[in-house]
Amino acid sequence: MSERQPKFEWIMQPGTGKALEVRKGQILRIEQVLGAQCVDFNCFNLHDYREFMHCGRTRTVHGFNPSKGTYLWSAPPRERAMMYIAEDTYGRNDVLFPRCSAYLYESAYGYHTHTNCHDIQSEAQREYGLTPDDVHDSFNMFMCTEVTLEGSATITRQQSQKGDHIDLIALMDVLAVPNVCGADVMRTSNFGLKPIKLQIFDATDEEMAAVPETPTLRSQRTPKDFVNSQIKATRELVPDAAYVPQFVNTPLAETAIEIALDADEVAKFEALARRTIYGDDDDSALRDIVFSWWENRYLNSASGAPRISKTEKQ
Amino acid sequence: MTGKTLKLWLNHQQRALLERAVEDGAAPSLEALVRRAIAESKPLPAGQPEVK
Repeated sequence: MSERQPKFEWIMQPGTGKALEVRKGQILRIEQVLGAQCVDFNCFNLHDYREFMHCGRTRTVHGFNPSKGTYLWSAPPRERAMMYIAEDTYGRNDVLFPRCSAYLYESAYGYHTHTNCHDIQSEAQREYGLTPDDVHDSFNMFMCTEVTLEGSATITRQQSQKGDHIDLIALMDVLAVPNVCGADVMRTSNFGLKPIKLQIFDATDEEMAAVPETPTLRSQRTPKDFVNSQIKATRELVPDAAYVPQFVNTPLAETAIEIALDADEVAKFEALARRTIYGDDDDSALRDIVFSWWENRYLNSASGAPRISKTEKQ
Repeated sequence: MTGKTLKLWLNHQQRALLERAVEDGAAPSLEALVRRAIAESKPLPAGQPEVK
């Protein structure tokens, strides 16, 4: 498939997302440009936005880490396979965590505004007239999570590489909404934000034939089956010609602080550097050390809402 | 082992978080904060990969 010419190509910069029309029989490829970047993803039935991808249903069917050979399902009462994961070169995704939100960054980190997946999703799909209340829980691509023996979900660092990608075949016309996860102060994307490449291809007959058939059941109801099928919105999603993106806090350019370490500090740094993740990239290893230290020192998370503490942990 | 100069690359959001720690008294400067982070961090446990 790599030799094919894409019908569409787009680079999502950190802090941004993109709403894309992907027609039935087309493939959306979501690819690492530099590696180690989480991507949050949602999709809607292009002709009825009230049908949307549902992580709960998907999680129930395919487990916590859907990957190659699984589907993204819509919410009850539709419960249809919307997209099929035809390829997944990294193989670590998540449907346990919700999209990160402004509340999280204010309560846990003290930001008044900060890039977050809910608001990025909201801003991207605003091009199609959707509102912040229309964002749903996301399929978190390239996000490594685990469940502890105590039953809590945790996030780990990741090792996706440049070129790692996920191919989603549309099984109906969808509005797909991927975004570069805004979590630059978490381990989700190894404490850094990177661009992501999007491409759309036509699937071949062979690729479509390789999608396992899913059952069509009477319980998969659509508006024609509803007692009340009227909603206070149009169902067709039409782009706003006057749409101008207003992603917060962008562009996210980086500047460097130089730190001259003496021999003892270098020795300590070497003992701390996560070489299995960062290789000989000292700068990324240093950033991990600093933000991991900040997490240990300041980040307070509990079973309820996380909160920021102005004072150091005791 | 000899000394070495490293670079801490930060976007403005990341920098703001660390600068707040400086303002809260964690260190007199960002450079000092980095030194404190290195000094206080614990070495990685041997043989326990953190990533899958």
